[in-house]
Order: sequence, then structure tokens, then C-alpha cells
Amino acid sequence: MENLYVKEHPILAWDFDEQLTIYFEDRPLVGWKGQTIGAILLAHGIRYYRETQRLHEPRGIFCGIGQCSDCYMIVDGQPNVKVCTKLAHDNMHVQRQIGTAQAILGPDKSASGEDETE
Amino acid sequence: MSKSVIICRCEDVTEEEVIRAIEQGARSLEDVKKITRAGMGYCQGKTCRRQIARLLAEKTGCPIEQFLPGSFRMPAGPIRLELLAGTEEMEE
Amino acid sequence: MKTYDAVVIGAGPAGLGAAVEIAKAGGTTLLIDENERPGGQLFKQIHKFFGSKEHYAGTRGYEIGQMLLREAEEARVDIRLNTRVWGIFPDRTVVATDDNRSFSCRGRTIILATGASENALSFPGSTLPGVMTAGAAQTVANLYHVLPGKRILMVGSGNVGVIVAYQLLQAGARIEAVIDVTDQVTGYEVHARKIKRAGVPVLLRTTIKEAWGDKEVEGAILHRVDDHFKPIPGTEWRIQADTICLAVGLTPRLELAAISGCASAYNPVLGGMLPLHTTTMQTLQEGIFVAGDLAGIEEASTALDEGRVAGLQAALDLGLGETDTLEDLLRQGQERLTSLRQGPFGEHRQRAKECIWQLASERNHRPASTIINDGGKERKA
Repeated sequence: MENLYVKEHPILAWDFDEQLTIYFEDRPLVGWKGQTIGAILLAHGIRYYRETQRLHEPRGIFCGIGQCSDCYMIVDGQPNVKVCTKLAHDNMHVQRQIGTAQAILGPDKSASGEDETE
Repeated sequence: MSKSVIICRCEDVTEEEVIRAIEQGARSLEDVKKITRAGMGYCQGKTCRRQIARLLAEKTGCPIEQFLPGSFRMPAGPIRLELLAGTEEMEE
Repeated sequence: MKTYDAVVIGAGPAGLGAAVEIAKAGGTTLLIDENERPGGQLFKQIHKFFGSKEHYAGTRGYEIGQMLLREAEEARVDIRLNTRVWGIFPDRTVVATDDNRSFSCRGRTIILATGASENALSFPGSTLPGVMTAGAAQTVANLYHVLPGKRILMVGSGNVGVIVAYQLLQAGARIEAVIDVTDQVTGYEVHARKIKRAGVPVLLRTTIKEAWGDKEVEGAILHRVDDHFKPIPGTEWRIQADTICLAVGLTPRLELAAISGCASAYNPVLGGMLPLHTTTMQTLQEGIFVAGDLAGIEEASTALDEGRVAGLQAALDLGLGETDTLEDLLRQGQERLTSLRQGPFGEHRQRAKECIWQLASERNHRPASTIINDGGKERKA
């Protein structure tokens, strides 16, 4: 399947040597160690990362430096992960984030996954 | 897909809503924030601050620097409460 | 509480320059950066820098970054990456987190080198996936070797716009057009010529009316503007694009300077609000210095030299190293900065800086280079 990895470049050598696989909603995507989750998603043409709480509209990468909040996704069950700066690891599971973190985690859970009703 | 212009990307606040707030008497970034929530989102207004200041300047006829920099409070950037509360001194 | 002679926030050229100078003068230095690698903007810059030999002319940005990093490591600077400063207290206690833990430490001096962020532009459809800042596209292409899209519209023909458009071409993208609302290309001629030679349409007096697409960018509607930048009705036309890059200016990242109480002033030439500072990079807050794009949007070379000047002045204030040597180096740094701020591009920045320095010294009733209040113990510089 066609992807947008730049293997040939007049100045930059391809300097990634360890391949890995991440999963976007169960779809396996090939990436390389040293790349961010966002870069790997973009390489595979995936750009719609979350849906906003109020107007239910799609968002993707905007600022690229971890400053805005457009690229927040659920990574290995953890919401609000900035995929533009988060480095990918083998076997990571990434999902589109619909709404806010609390909406996803539910009222009885904290961000670290601990059950607060205990 | 709405055809409105979104100024605060974090909270989905439109330009129309910001202008309406100014027409209702908002005269600072804080005022606009309290009425519309623009600037209350995860990015703490970093993305929309400048644009709101420009709208304030345009609608009031005052220079933009009157509305900047606005207020900045700790924490700079979102941080989980459990981390913040558990702040420890760096080891010597 | 662990106390460093200097806590430097931001490891781009300014922060690296400051940290190296303080460490070489014998100061204990902590250098913090929120990214997973230091170097700031330098690592995304694959073009050759121009200027003088001291400014690494002919060297690519990322090579300069590597050299500075080696210097910092050799000078035994304590470098913490993936770490974000979330607060600065009045006694110069700094709190930071790497998202696993949060820690505090103190700096006898603090150097803020937090750089700049790109401005957003809002229009119908500006939140569609595929609309991103030029810097985001540059990072993805140059650091991660991925094309952000295949058909790219670049909004803005300043330095960032023309450089990134060219770099995206090198990465294999198709640039549908570079547009600018003014009647001239405002970026460096060198890069502008390269894009034009590659056949990219450069459309002046043109702005974006809206971006369209269902869940992602599929195209844009452009229109012409008049002398007052007002859209001319009836001049709209559609272009196809899957990516819209915004290169509409940079603004200093003021948050930590403001949180730590540094007074700021507005200067449009330098990017908007920036912290007031003197010719030796001191702010109006005791013991706090600024350097680089935070102190006004310029370039990597000025950032590096401002960092060096800030570091040298901090070292002098702390009584570190050999006063004569440091003062010499500081003066040389200031001379290099003056020479960088010449010519048609530099003159405006020189004058803008002079306004800032003037305002800072008017409001600063303490003479520079005096006493650092070390949590109750006064140390004469």
C-alpha cells in the first residue's frame, strides 16, 4: 500500500533502522523507532485524530509542537496524548478520541486508570 | 462542517461569539474568556489569544497592546493533578 | 533544595549558547527542554546558513545543533529532555515535569530561551485536518521523513513560508501555490527564486477565503485583495490541495516570562509582546535573563549570540570565571549581534531592539550587573 515515507531525499539520509508496528483502530501500520505516532499516521494518510466536544468536528495535526490540543488521541487506553510529539513504540494501540478525556474515562476513573470509587 | 470561523480551537468558540461578547461589553481577554470560554481550553489561550486581542482592538478602536499579554498563571501547560501535588525536590 | 548557578529553559540555539558560556565559566548549569531532542529549530533546518564564519556560514542548521550539543555535553551541562517547566516562583524556584514525575529546584539565575510559536489564521474550514502550521509540516518532513500531504498550499511568503515550501519540494511534495496577502514576497530572495524556478506559482495580493472538505482538507477557495487587504468580490477561484500550511508569522512564547513577573512590551517588528530586556539580556526581574526568539523574532544566529551574551552576563553577576575574559567575550558577542542586524532586513530589527533596550533601562532603576539576591544571602557580583 502506498505511503508517504520519504526514502529518497537530496540532503537527508533515511536514518531510521528499527521497524515497528502500531495499530490505529486495529489496523496495523508500519513505522520506525524514532518517529512520532503522528508522523506514522500521516505517512499512512490518516489525518483525522479526534472529534471536538462541543461542535463534534474533526481535528488533526495543527501546531506540531505540542502546544494546541488538536492532535489528542487515545494511546494504549490513555486519552489526551499529543501524537505530534509522542514517540511511537512497537505494539501501541491508537484510537480516535471522541470528546473529552473525562467523557472517555467516565466519572469514576482517574487519568492513571485507578478506580476512584474504591 | 460548519462554515463559521473558529477562533478558539480547543473550546470550539466562533468569531461571531467573540464579537458578540465584545458588543456585550467584554473589554479584555479575561472578559471574553469568562463569557465565551475562549482561552479556557487545554492550550490555555496560546493559539487564540492574539486573534482575540486583535478583535478587541478592531472593535474598540484601542491599540492591540492594551489587551496583551493578558494573564498567565501557573501551571504553564496542562499537568495531571496527582503529579502537581506530588512535586518533589530534585535530589542533590 | 538543589540549587544551580543557572537554570536554562529551552535548548535551542539561545539556550545552548547560554548554558555553554555559564558552564565554561565554572557555573553549575541545568538545561531543560520539553522536546525529546535539543537544538530547537536547528534540527529542522536542512539548508545551509549564510553569514560570517563565526556564524557557521555554509553549515547546515542541524550540524550547528550537533556541534553546540557536543560543547554543552563537554562542559558538563546537566541536560533534561522531555521535561516541561510548569512554573517559576519569586525566589527562582523552578518546577518541571516529564509527565511521570514533577520536581523542583532553584536557579541563582534563570535564562529563559523558550523561543517562539507560529501564529494561527482563522477562516471557514481552518480547523479541518490537513490545515497545519508550516513548522508542523517542516518537522514531519525533515525530522521524521514523512510527507505531510501530497498537494500543498502555502499561505505566507515570508522566510518560513518560502523555506518550508522549498524543503517540502525537496521531500517530494507538490506545492500548488505560495500565496501572500501583500504585493511582494517577503522572504529571502535566495529561497523564493528556488521555488519559482521549480515552477511553483507565487500568487501575491491573494488570500484564502475558506478551506473545503468533508472530514479533511480537499481544497481551498482563494481570492484577491485590494491595497487595504480587503477581498475583491468576484475574484474567487478554487484550487485542489490536501494540505494547507500557515506561515503567517511567529510570536514569542511569553508564558514563563510572564509567570515569573517579567514586564513586557509590544513591538510588531519583533513579533508582538516580548519581555523587556537590556543590552546584556537582563529582564526587569532580578536574576532572570532572556535570549533568542523569546526576546524578539530574529534568526538562529542572533539567538545563539544572545544566548552567549546572556550566559556571560549571568556568569559575571554570579562572580564566576575571569571578569576581564568574560567581559571581552561579552563585548564580542554584542558586536556580532550588531553586525547581524545590518542591511535591509537587519536594520528594522536593530531599531526595534534599541526601543526595547531603551524602555528596559528607563524602567530599571538598578544598574546592571549588581547584586543577585541568593535567597537571603546577598552576593556582590
